Formats: sequence, structure tokens, C-alpha cells
Amino acid sequence: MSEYLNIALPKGRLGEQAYGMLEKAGLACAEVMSGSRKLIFENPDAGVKYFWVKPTDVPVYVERGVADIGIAGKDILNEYSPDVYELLDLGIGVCRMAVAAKKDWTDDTSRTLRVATKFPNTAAEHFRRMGRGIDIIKLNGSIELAPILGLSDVIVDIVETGKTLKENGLEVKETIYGVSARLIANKSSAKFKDAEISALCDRLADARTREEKL
Amino acid sequence: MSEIFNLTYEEKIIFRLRALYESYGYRRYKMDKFEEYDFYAKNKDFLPDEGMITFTDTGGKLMALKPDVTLSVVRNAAGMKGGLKKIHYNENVYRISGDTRHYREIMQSGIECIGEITKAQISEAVCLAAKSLLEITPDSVLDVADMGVIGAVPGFSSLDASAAEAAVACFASKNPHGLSDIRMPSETADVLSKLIKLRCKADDAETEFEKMTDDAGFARAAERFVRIMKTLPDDAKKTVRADFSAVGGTKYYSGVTMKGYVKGIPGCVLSGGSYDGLMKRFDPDLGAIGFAVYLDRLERFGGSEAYDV
Repeated sequence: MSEYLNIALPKGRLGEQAYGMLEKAGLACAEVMSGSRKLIFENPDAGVKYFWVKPTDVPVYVERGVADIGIAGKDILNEYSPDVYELLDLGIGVCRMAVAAKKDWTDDTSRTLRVATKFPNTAAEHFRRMGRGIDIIKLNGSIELAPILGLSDVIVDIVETGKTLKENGLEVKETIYGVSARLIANKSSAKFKDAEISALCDRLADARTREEKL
Repeated sequence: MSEIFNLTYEEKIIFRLRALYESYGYRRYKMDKFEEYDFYAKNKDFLPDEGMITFTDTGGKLMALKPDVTLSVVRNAAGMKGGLKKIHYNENVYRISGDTRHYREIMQSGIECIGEITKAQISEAVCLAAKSLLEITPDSVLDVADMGVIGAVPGFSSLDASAAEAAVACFASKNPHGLSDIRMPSETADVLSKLIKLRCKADDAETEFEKMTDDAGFARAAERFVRIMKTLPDDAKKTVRADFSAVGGTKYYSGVTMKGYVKGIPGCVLSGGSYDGLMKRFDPDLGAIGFAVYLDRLERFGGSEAYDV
């Protein structure tokens, strides 16, 4: 087990925001935001290593112990159910998982509902709880296209401001759950690097509380 | 002749664990690889996953490659009169791997103690679990929890089944903020949150529980747990922690539960606990406790490879 604290950051805006929080919590590594094409960055003085990974892969790196901790959205955690600790809600990347459809759509319960989504497990679980029979259409991007082109009746997807839906004549029909970024930890790392991870968690939680009070 | 002793690391561990268990009076138990499918279908609530490798035997009966050891041991022990049945085993089970969703052969060594289970047997099982990890490496920890303590949190017993299940899931993922998504009285959420965050040495558990609530029912349940922890021998106690993320896994663990970790291996390598609830389905007069060491997870242990990011 490496004596560095290994941190998996999701590529993109969320990862950059999360890095900002970690930097303020004492885990700075200036090269991370340099725009370099390197994938691994280390700061021996802070005892930290960062690596950029695809957002859906963060839980894999953490579950497998290559990363001690990582930042992952609640949408990804609910979809893939990795065997990790979910230590803290960071309060960033706030959005919601929702069912959306064309504005004038109404549900014809005499037919199987066609649901297009990047989150098949989430969609299946949601409609299973409602007892609604569905046909899941797994897509990897541009989910909003599906009901517009008649591929599906509804979509299950992340919604932030709702602007993309509105511009495509869609609207939220139902919110499934709220989403935000979470600090996750490998279960074994949490035992053997308990002091560093707990201290980091406390600093991040304090910073979040101060932000909320502003 | 020297090839006989050219053992893999896992093989060495198997011999060490066998010696440990036999020194505590556990006898070797050899099982069949196959069991009737019907048996598992009737007890599927207690299996970690519904998937099983099945085949039809020469008599036309639907059989399954064992996905679990404990269920077979429990069935064979039902009806025993008096005393304790203490067995150790080294068996392969066949389960669906969590991430790839493919079947895998998983090598396990473990113990089961069945009969009139008192605090002495529970303490012995916890001690043996800690010592099993120490046979692998001194850099190990055994997390111990107790479903009875969780159940005694004021207001917990009034939660409906799905709320209780969701709350227990928060323990397994050390996720106190997840409780805010579950409807429950604030006092219940407050105590559950403290219990989720708890991580302390065996001897400190009593003080930590006292800080959580004055509730008498909780105090009684906590006292039972504390007494088990206090009776552990010093060498085992060093690596034992009260940590309630050790709950979860299969549904048959109903009292004390344990999960063991080794530095350098990303997931737990040992899992077990009391399973009186399962045992009483087969024989209402018997209780049971046991654990398994997942030897397949030691494959990359023992010095040959390490992650160096």
C-alpha cells in the first residue's frame, strides 16, 4: 500500500471544483490544474497523488484500492453500487436525477413505457417501485434526442438547470432523487490511512459548513 | 522432494489457519461440491446473490454448485442434541462476481460453531477471526459490530422494513448523511449517525456508547457487546475495532458481525458473524456463529506485486 494518499478526480468541471476544495484542505498539487496531458500528479511534501479519470471510473479505482479516495456523483454511486465508503456529501455538482419527456406527453398505462437512459439500473429500480412495466433503451449520450425522435416515451437523466430540456421541448415530469458529489473511500484504505482520511473529511466538512453560512 | 514444499502463499495460509482452528478444538469438515437447487431456492434470502451454477444430475434432479458453505453446515447440524459442533473447512464456492457479473470460484477457509451459543463462543469466534488475520499479516484489522445494538437505538424498531434496510445500508457505506433521506425521528437519526461514525479500539467502546444516548434499552445491548470485546485476549484485541460498517452482506447475520481487512488488499478478506436467525429456521434450539477467510483475495498478497501509482 502506497504511503501517499492517492486521489481519483473525475475529469471535467466537477473534478476541478473538487480539486479546489482539496487544495484548500491542505492537499495542494499545483501541476494538477496546469493543463498538462499527464495523468498522474504528485506532491511529496503534501503526501498526495492525484489522477484524472473518467467520472464513471472513479468508483472502480477506489473500490480496487488504486485510489484511496475519490470524488464521484451520487448518480454514479447509485447506478453502479460500488463497495466503497461514502464519507461526505461535498455539496458541489448539485443536480437531480429525473424523468423527463416532451411537454405534451402523457403516460399511456395500457402500453409498456419506453425509457431511454444512461442509467439503466436507476431507471429499472425507480419504475419497479412504481410497478410500471418498462422497456429500457441504454444510450451513452444526447439522451434528450430519444423522445424527440420517437425512440422512447421518456428519459431518465441528470438535470441541472433544465435549460437543455427546455430548449428541446422537454420538461421534467418527476424528480427521482437529488444528486451531488460525494467523497468516497476504499474500505481498506479507510482503516490503514484512517488518520489522514478522517482529518481530510473533517476539514472538508468544516469548509462546507463555512460556505453554507456565507 | 523439495517440490512438495514449494507452496503458494495461499496454501501456506491454509495450513496455518487449519493449525489455528484445530488448536481451539475445531474439527475438519469436508463437504460435497453440489447441493440440491431446491434447498438454495427455499433459502435464497440468505444468499448474497440469486445466481447459481446449476446442472441436472444423472437422476434428473436439478443440482447447484455450492454458492455458500454456511447453509449446508446449518442443515447438517439441525437436530443435534446438546453440546457444540465446532468445525473448520476449506471449500470452494461458486458465485457471481460483483463487478463483472460472471461466475467465479472462490476459495474459503472458515469456522462454524453451532449449538448453545453463549458469550464465550461469540468471544472465541471474534478472537479466532482476529488471529486468522494475524496469520496473514500483523498489519490487519478486524471490525466488529452488533445488529442488536443497532436494533436497540431508540426509535429504530418503529421504522418500517424498507426504512430499516436503508438505515443499515448507511452503516455499510459509513454514510451518515444518507440518513437524512430516510423518514425517522431526529433522536433516532442522531444516535444512528454517531454509531455510523464510530471507530474505536475494543476497550474504548464502552465510553463511546455512553456518549450516544441515555436510553436504557440501548445501554443493555451495548453492555452485551462491550463484555464480548472486553473478554478478548490481548493479542487479538490489538487489531479489533468497534466499527459498525461491519454490518451488511448476507441477511443471515443477525447479532455480532465482523469484517477483516489486511493492509495492501483493497476489500475485506474475512466476513462473518452470528446467524441465529438462519439456524433457528432449521432447529429452534440452536444458535450459530462463524466466519470465512476469502483466500482468493490473497492471490496478489505475499510480496510479489503491489500497486505503485
